[in-house]
Amino acid sequence: MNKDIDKLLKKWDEHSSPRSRTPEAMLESIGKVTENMTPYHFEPAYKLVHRNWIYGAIAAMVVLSAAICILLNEIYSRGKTDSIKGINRTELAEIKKINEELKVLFPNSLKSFCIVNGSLVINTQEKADNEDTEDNPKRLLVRYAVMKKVSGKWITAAKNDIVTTVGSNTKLADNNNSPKGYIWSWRVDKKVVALESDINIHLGRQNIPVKFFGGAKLNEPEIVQLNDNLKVCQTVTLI
Amino acid sequence: MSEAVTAGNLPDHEHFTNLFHEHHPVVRRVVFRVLLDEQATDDIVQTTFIKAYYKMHTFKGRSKMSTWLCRIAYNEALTYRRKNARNPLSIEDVYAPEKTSRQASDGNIMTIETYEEISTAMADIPEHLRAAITLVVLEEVPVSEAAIIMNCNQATVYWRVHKARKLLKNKLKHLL
Repeated sequence: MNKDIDKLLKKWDEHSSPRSRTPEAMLESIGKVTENMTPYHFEPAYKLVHRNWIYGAIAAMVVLSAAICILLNEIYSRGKTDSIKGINRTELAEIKKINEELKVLFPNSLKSFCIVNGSLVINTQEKADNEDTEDNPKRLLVRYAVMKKVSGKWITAAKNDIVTTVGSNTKLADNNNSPKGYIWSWRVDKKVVALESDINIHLGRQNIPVKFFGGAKLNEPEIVQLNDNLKVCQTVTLI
Repeated sequence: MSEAVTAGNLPDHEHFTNLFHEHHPVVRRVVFRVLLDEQATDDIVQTTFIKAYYKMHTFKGRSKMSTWLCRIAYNEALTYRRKNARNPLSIEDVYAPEKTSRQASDGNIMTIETYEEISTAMADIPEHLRAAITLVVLEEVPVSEAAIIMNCNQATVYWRVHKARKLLKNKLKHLL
């Protein structure tokens, strides 16, 4: 059977004589081509760029891209953290949650609250003087981060988060550990809140007076007190 | 031929002409059987010999010169086929029969219908099977050399020839 098909194919092959240029004509055209061509014309590009090199380049690009992404993310996160001096997104979300819960618990009497190194002090008693609240007031978080220099490096010694209402003058509750004094705020524009504060921050037995009067850009830390071993950063943000 | 070529040098004209005259018929047949396209066959054969001209110094003499040339030609044919994969083969265009019968050099006559039927059957089978049966059955190239040309092992060549025969037998059983 194999012989039959082979025989048939050979017979067919004998009858198929494809038309073509004569060998001389083809040789002539080959000669013309080789006269005008450099020996490197047929050097295939894939031999110069090895497949593994391409894989290596792709892998390197992936690693590099990942490194850049991580680096940018790190810088972005660091910038975010620095900009509100330690208030990261988790902390902010936590403060918002506390604010919502306190609003439910003290719907009419909640004026402000402070979170000092994790301890909550609620101000529901003191009435604000010259209260000038907006129709739909926003809550304002003012953070005073006290930083001390230890072995040449600045470390955060205390965080005082004061949540008050935009457009109000808030007297802070008189508590042992929480800041004392008042904060008066009103909205200037989308990015700036005018702030007048006169408070005393406790750091252990140390009493640190902080006074500020002027426009405070939202989410931008501002050093309100600085000496050789201690500085206080004020950051204002809406919640 | 390889003795006339030193590494990195181009072959001289006389040697190349002799090489062309000696080997171009087999190269042409192999390419034509793979492509079944007369016009493309000329182009591929020409490209094959131009490449051979420039790459002659890489021929180490480990195989026959015809095997080396056929391998270049086979790869060129496959590359051409891949580039033109969207233009399927039209058997009418390829053979363009003008007569009612075709006469071989020995005087045997095959009717144009039979010829076309076999041509169509050959065109219908995959090109790697067509190349295998062309090399082994029609050109009577040893399987070891066919394996070199097609860059596969000998068992694969045997299998391809077997498969090609089987497909062709099914298509042409009424002629057997």
